[in-house]
Amino acid sequence: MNLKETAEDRAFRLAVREFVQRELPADIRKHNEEGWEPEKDEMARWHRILARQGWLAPSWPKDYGGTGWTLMQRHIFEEECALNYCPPVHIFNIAMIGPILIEYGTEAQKQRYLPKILDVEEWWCQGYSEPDAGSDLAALKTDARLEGDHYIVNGTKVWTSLAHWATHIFCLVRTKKDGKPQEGISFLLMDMTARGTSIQPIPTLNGQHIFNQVVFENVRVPKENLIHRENEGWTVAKSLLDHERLFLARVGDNKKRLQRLKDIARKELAHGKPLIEHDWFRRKLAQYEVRVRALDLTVLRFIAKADSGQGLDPSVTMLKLAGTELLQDLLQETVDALGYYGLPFQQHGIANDELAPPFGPEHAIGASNARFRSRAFTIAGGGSEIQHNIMAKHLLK
Amino acid sequence: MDFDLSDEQRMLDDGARRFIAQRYDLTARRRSVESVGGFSRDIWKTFAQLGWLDVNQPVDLMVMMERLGHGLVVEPYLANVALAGGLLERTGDPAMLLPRLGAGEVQLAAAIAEPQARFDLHDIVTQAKPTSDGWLLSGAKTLVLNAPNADWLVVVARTSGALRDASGLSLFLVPAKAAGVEIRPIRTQDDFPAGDVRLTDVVVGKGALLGARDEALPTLQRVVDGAMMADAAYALGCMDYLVAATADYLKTRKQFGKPLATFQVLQHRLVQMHAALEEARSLVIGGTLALDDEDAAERLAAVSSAKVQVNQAARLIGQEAIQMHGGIGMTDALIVGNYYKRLLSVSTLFGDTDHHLGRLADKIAA
Repeated sequence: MNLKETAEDRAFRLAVREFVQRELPADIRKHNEEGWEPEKDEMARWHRILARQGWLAPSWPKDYGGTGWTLMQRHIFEEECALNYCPPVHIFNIAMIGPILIEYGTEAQKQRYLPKILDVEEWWCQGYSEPDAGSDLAALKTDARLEGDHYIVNGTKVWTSLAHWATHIFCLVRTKKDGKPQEGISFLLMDMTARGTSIQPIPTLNGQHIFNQVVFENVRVPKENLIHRENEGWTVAKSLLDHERLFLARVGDNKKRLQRLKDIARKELAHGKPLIEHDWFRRKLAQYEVRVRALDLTVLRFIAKADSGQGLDPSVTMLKLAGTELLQDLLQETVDALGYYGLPFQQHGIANDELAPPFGPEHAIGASNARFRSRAFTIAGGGSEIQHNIMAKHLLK
Repeated sequence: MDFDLSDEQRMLDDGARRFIAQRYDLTARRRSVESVGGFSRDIWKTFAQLGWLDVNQPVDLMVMMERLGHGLVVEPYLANVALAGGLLERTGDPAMLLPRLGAGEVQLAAAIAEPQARFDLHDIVTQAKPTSDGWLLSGAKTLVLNAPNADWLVVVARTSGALRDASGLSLFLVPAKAAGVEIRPIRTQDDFPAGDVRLTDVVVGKGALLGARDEALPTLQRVVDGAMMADAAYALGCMDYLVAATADYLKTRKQFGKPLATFQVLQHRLVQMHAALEEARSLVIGGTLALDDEDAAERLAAVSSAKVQVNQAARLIGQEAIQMHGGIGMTDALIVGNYYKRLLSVSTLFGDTDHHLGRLADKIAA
């Protein structure tokens, strides 16, 4: 056993760090550091920078524009990006539809869609959840009926993150109503500009536009936009989660938010001296350090095992649970560290609105928003309750 | 032992309950939030007519605030009645503002907290210097509730001693429109009007001094304790709403072919929410009844214990309500998120959990 990074990995880490510190535009860094969600333009700019370097889609096979990195290298890359306040890449493009097309797409589908992702021309969103199919995703009802060369799609998708940015949506639709619910689902690629498609924003409790409702009314989708086989969409949807689950632990995010909490604790005062000089506060920081270290080393154990060809342990699911809950706690603790400056409503992008100018010290500006946003981390992408079910099923089989 | 409300208190409770049910639905609340100043002048007038702006007994205030919390009322009741009104009440109200507050004719704000002070009431930089015919005030206050609406500010300032000395603080009544008063308005995350207040060589007369010079801290502490219990009672109303709303949602929302309420893991978590609420309720009753206790140590223990439990229950219940509602809980359309945001503010206002555990710990050491 040896827990030291190898010389190669260390060199790789330094190369990534040097690159992101040199290339990340200062305004994007600042925005991310404050705790705001990236704007589309920021994400596009960062995507183009990564694409020029060939690092936009590290997880894809080399032939398709990926990097051929080991999982350890990917982990180091993700961590350095997070620690240096890079915005995330658009997960629906890079981590979801890309790998799905590569695994299940026809040659024509790959040729049509993959280059446009790497060229930062097309943006995808994910049409999974429905009003009556949340944690019970297989209950989805959006209907797709084959009529000649087209599927006619009718139904409603909700919590569709960033649909308002998207040119395309990958959707789970129902093509068979009898039998087990999982066995009548198909995976369709749809154009967001297709006639009969409409989007309504669903503002979040902190006044951000992330979620949408997407309604399909007799939308015609060419038959060739089916991925894999009809009624086998559930397999496709499930496949994308495996390696990506390692990264749902958000190790880099957690490390940087702990770092930022310490920085803030050096500036904010309690009882006449900096917060960080109080033993009771340092004990809280120490507890967070324990949690971050535990998460970090556990992720590294999973990665080392997978990189040595022993596959991914199914209990990788625990990483999303631990990582998202830790991040929620860290972000709330950060707001708490601000005392009364954690209370104002602050909104990015409407700085001219007299009710919502940036308020208080600069390090306070986006903290409250980031905390509110984080409540969705344990709901989206398979809520914590579902993750527990998956783990329990694995442990008790 | 008697945990029952008196007949008068029950009438107050019923009246407030009726008002919320009949007059304060979501649309009305939104209208208030979007009004100039962030509250409805009509509703404020109604409060005055009902006699609710004269409420000052601790238990009456608890009853009233719990009802307002249940309806998530944004009208600036805490800032006016519990906080500024409380300070005037205890300092003899030389300007006779309380009758006008009761009639709904004036808006008040108490300028207490300062940027460096966190939750320490005695950590005051703002200075009041005596002049030949009054006082000259200078300093900065933060998160002053209701500041943008206020006609009058009650300002805590240092008249002697060093920063963080317990003695040397005094209270002043300052017209919000006085020269040198600059208010930067904001909304809190939970839709209340507030502001940073900067005082630059503000001139006030001798009569502006409220209560005894240099000896304001004990008064301030008692009034803040009272406001803290009032806000804690408001939180009880919020938590009561959320526990019931979550129970309803679990009973009606179906996934995997059955109501969520049939999943044992969710049942148990609902029980934890309920238990946290009931423990908070017990301690808020205890804290409220201790407000008139002359034993300062006993008062502190009762009030800070209540505050710790309320802060913790507020977080637990707010977060769990959202988590158990799922995606819909994250939206602005469902009121659950608004209750959660209010509960988060409650858990910071007048001191977070660390602050009050610190007070209790110091008392144990003393």
